[in-house]
Parts: sequence; structure tokens; C-alpha cells
Amino acid sequence: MEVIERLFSEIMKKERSIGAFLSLDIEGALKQIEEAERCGGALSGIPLGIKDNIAVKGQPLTCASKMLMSHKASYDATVIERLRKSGAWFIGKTNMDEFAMGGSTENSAFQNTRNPVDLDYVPGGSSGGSAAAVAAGMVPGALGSDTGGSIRQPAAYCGIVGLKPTYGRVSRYGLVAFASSFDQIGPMTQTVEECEQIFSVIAGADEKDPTCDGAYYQIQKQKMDFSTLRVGVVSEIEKMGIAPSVLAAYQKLVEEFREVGAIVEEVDFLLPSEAVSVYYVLSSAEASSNLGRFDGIRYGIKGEGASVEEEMRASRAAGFGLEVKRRVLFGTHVLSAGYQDQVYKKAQRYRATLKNRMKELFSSHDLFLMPTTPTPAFRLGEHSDDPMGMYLEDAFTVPASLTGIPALSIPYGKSELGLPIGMQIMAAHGQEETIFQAVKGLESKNGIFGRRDQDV
Amino acid sequence: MREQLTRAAKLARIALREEEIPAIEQAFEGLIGHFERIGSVEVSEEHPRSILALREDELREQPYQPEWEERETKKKALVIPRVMD
Repeated sequence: MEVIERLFSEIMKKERSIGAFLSLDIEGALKQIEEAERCGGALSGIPLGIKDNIAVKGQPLTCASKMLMSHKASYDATVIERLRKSGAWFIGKTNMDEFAMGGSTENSAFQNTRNPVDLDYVPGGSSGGSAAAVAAGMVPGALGSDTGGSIRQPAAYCGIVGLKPTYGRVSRYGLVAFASSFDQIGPMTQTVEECEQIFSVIAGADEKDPTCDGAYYQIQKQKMDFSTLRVGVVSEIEKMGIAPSVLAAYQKLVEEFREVGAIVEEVDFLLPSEAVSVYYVLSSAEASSNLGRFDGIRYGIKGEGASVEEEMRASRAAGFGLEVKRRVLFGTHVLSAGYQDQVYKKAQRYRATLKNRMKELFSSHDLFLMPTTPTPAFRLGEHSDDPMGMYLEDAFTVPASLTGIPALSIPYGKSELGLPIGMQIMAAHGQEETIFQAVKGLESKNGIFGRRDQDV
Repeated sequence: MREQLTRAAKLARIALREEEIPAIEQAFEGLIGHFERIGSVEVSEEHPRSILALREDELREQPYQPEWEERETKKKALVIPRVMD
């Protein structure tokens, strides 16, 4: 009991300035730990933070929205069930952008989360609470969800490791849906090894999620033979308008792959900036449908009105924040008569093109490298009145989301201001093995990512 | 753009406050403008297929094999109308 009190008091000390958690399970901790110790699995006794859109039985499930303010989960998500069986326990629910819509965690209806590296900066989003909790050392690991970059971008901004698994490899059962053809749950940790360990527990087919038929994962012990590894890098990346520190980090990582003997080749890649608006068209369309269930009747706060229709309109107006309204309305607009062919179907065709190009790319390459974000973290409030500016921060993460491939963000150097930079390593569908093997291979030669003292 | 936004709000059942409209309009214009630039990119004519349709394709590759013999199945099939008569 004393140990638990000490653990929570340490967390509370940091929590006052960071604001990573929306709720902490102080009362249930002892029971959870006793159960975890009985399991004695690979993650025995390890406390994890869970993004507040993943169901943990008995704990709040608010999605950082007023709409679900007093909602508690009545069952465990599949990932939670698997983690429990491996001995992990759940310290609390982490802050996020409302319904996972945003890239700074400023869209939470309840609080702002600050970047532990510099409190004036955002932690990224939407899994900003999870990233900040891990970066501040409040928990050794956390779960996030990634729709257009929501694990990788905050991981990059906070200087930690984050994996967006292949679409369909991790069950989405128990994850509150934002855009069902994109959403994936993934681990966020301080090291690549811990990330792989959590992934090995949560990956694998689940009969409760018909889109999840991916293979189980075994931790890679085999050493990477770099002489046969074909690595694709972005040609003319310097023309993409990325920050000089990010460009320097990217070039350094490419050089590192060359030095260990990998075959590095430049590839022409579809401009990521175009993928951004395609992603927003498709994900907003799906969101407008998924969020239709929040009408004040079955869930959430209830508005007042003379008719059922008016009650629904009032409930949704009061329960959703500005960014959620923006996306639901945009999604409704692109799906409405007259715009479906012009916008939505064209975006679907673009997605198909991108998938084909990605398939071609991985027919001749094992890995593809890209920075995780064009710039390091931005200041709190910097993009508040500039939604397009915020959306364009996703330029490098959305290609993997649109095509469903796995992508790992690793911390790689720091900017002139000391802010972390993230690099993204992508592979073909279901090839998380290759990513982890290659990254661990680099670590065995040049040191652990995130613990190297390397300013670029 | 305001007209489209009002129409979308009605369809999405969200009562918008007047002060929220400019911020939403700004994002609408930005995204649509950005999207229109895609016109210059060669977009595949191939229609995307849903995950479930793709899964169906995978299953179709393994032709349906009933446990019983084809002849036996036919016999059973012929029995049914007689029973119904």
C-alpha cells in the first residue's frame, strides 16, 4: 500500500504541471496489482496509462468530451483483456483531443496537456496525454490510438517511441470509433524494446473485431542482415518545406542506414501534402457517421427542445466541441448529394492510387523512411485559429494511415531549441517484424534511440 | 459556403451558434481548396473496394467444399420437393 501511495504521489507531483491524466484509478490500484501479480505474465506488475477512448471496465471513458463526461466503461477492450492477462495494470486514463480529433490535445474539453520537455509547448495529439505521461516518466508505457498520426506525432513531439500497427493487426473492439477504416490502437513507450513487448501482447486476430485478422507477433531475436535490407528514402525532401533541424535529422538517419550496409535508394513519392486533404475528407466522412450515435438519448448530456429532433440538435451542440463539430459537418457535407462524386468518391480513388503506389514501393524495398512531422512541437495556442496549419502537420503521417501500413516513430535528435524530433520507419502490410529488427539492429551498433545524446 | 454549412448542420443535427460559424467556414474553405488541387494528380479509375469485399475475395479463392459427396447432395435436393408435395 505504501508503495502505491508513493507511486501516485510521485505522479501527482508531475501531473500538476503536465496534466497528462483525466482520471487516476487510485482506489482500484491495489486490487489491480494483486490480480496482475497472480498472472505473472511478460508485463507482470507494469503500470500503463490508457488513452481515454479505450474501454477499461469500471474506469471512465470520456473521449475528453463533455458528451461522455460521466460515462464509465462496462467492459474491457480486447487490448486491455490481453494486457491484463500478461500482468499489466492500468493506472488511469490519459488526456486526448476530443474524440481523437486534433494534433495538440488542446481540443480536450477538460484540460490542456503540456509537453514535459518544455511546458510552453504542446505534447502533440491526439494521444498527447499518453505521450506526455510516458515522456515524464509517470508510466513506463501507454496505449494510444492512431487515425491520421495520433500515436506517431505526439511520440515525436515528446521524444518517445510510438507504433501505429498494420490496420487489422490489433483489435479495435472497445475503442470508441472515430474513422473505422483508419483507427488503430498502438503502444507508446520510452524504448523500442518496450514498444515491441507491448505490441507482442496486443497483436493478433480477434473474433470480436471482423477487420482484425492479423497475425500474432513474436519478439524478434534474430539479428538483422543489413546487407540485404533495401531502404527507400524520399527524393528531394529538401523541397518539402520541412524545418532545417528535421531535415538534418532525416539525413543523419539515412546516413546511419548506409553506414551499417543497407541498400539505400531514393524513391519518388506522391506529395504527402495532397494526402492531407484526402485524409480529412475520408476520416471526416466516417466520423460524421460514427458520431451519429451521440444524440443525448442513449449517451451523454441531454439538451432541451420542443421535439425529439430539437433535443438531439441541442444535445449535440452542447456536447461536442468546435473541432468535432467542424469535422462532423465537413464529413456530412462531403457525403451530401452533389458532393459525393465530386469529393468523397474522388478521395476514395486517390486512396486506391496511393495504396497501389505503396504496394509498388514495397515490392522493391523493405523499409521506407520519412520524418514523423515537418517541424518539432509548436507552442500552446499557436495553431488555435489556424486549423489548416494544424492539419498540415499531419502531412507525413497520413500516407501510412491511408494505406494501412505499419509505421514506427523513434526519437531522433533535438532541434536548436532542444525539442525532440521524430523519424518514421514504415514497412509493407504486416511487416512490423522488419521494422523492429532493423531498428534494434541500429541500436545494437549505435545505442538506444531516445537515450543517445545527439543534437542535430 | 455559409449555405452549405447550414445545410450540413441540419443534416448532422447540430444547432450551430452564430459565433462558431466563421471558424468552421474557414476550415471548410481551406480543406476544399486544398482538395481541389488534387485535380492535377493522376487518380486511379479503379474503384476502391471495402475491406469486407476484399476478405470475400480471399475466401472465394478457396472454393466451397461441402463435407458430403456431390451426388448425395443432389439426391437430398431432389427429396425436398417430394416431401413438400
